[in-house]
Amino acid sequence: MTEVSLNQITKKFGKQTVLNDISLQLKPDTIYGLLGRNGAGKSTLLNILTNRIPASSGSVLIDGQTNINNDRVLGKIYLMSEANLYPNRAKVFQIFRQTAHFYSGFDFELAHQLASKFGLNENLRFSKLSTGYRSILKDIIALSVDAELILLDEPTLGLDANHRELFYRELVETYAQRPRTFVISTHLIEEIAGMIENVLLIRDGKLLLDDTAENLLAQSYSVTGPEKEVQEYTAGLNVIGHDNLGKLRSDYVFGQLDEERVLPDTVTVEGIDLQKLFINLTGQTDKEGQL
Amino acid sequence: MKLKKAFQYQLVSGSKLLGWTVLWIIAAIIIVPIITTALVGRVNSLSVNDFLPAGLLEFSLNVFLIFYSAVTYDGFQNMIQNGIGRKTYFYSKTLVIGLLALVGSLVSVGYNLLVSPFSPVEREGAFSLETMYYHFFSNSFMNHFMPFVLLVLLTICIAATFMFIGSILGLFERRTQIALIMGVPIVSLIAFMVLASANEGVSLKLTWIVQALMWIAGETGNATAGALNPFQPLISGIVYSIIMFAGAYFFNLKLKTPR
Repeated sequence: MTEVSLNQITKKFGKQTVLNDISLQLKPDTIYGLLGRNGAGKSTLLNILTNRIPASSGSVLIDGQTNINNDRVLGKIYLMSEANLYPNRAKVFQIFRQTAHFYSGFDFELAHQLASKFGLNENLRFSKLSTGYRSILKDIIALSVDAELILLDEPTLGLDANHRELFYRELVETYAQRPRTFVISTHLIEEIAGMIENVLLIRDGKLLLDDTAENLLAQSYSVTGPEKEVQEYTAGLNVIGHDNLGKLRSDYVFGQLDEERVLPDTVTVEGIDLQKLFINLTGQTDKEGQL
Repeated sequence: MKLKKAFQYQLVSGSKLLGWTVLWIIAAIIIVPIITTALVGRVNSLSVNDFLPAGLLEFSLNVFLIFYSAVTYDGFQNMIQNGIGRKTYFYSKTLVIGLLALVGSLVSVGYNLLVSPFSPVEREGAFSLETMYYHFFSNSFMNHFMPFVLLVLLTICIAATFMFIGSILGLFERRTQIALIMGVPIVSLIAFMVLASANEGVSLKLTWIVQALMWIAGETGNATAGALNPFQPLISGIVYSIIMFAGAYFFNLKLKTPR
């Protein structure tokens, strides 16, 4: 089992701080959802994890060893990213072969099966693949490779709904057969909400949340009813956002409710889904509630 | 370190590229001129030398090494995608360059020996460097062997220079790369012209640069052509390639993706 820890990672591009003092540990055999708005620093974090770019400060340790130019450590990670780093002239089957050369446990059988299911022509050159099929190729490699830590940065970019569903199904299946750590960074939160076990939420370069999806959802509520009653009920609670529909109001609360308070008959309290929680956590202003 | 795996991969891809380079150069230097000659009805004027020109493989090898050594970033991207770090990438590529320069030089010397009877130009040895150092040693084997070592070293120096340049260019975006590739030679040329006009009347032969170049070539003051000291270019070449490779290594460690 591979232990991954990021210690006080900071990344600056010129004067702009993209990641600010991020420390976390990835548990083995867990599916993580790495969430954050555009420009939050998700891709930068994954690029630092795989030593594609250096951190300005801090360290990444995998099984106690630094990841900087360390083949032994880098060989335990596979990053599927939007960037196309494979040779343009290489054919799909050649890319499978070269991956197998470097990742010795590459599952050829699975790769061929998946290529067939996705309708990926293995004789096509990388440069001839559409954006969607480039993602599919990299997804297939990510699922077939024998790395302990699989990082998926927007794995469904350019994929149609059918292919997205197929990919998620195959991911869960391969995970069930051979558990390892997945970190999925995506904007399509609804689609992965059912499979992620742990949530990493980045906002403005800082790690806001690192908790199980179950724990987070257990303390996320929507309080709906007439505006006045709702506001009275949620006063003093950690309200992270709200919606209005005519005279009705929904306040989104993150954290424990006050059990001593009497819930008015006109007000209902329900749980909210991960996407709603994400939108309200990352969209909130500083005045409107804190974590 | 996965040096063996990276080396194997790069050797295969480098050898394929070398093969394609040779084929394209054969097409450009031999096949196209022959077809053109045939089309204008002058087939009778063709000689064996037109089919087997001397220096063909040497030229192909150098063209390949210039290109292969300079293309740093694409290789780095592919390697880092496959979990190979910058150090291993640099070492494996340097080893491949060294090996292909050695084997390629051996093959090209063999080829030149093979085609020398058909060459219209009389040569003292199998390749031109021999004419400079042919009489330095009293031992005949050394007189043949040392020029070969220098030929390999010269090839490596060329490769090291372009690897150094490629590593620097690899740090920049494509647009900046083009600006540098176009701009640096133009600026250098202008600077040279300004310097030359400022020193009008002073013979270039008297400058220290020429003297240094002469020393590097093996000039000892009283040596004649064919008896230049081969140890001077040997030492200079080794020192130069170490500096170039060290520089390339330094810039290799700074590569990143995205840039």
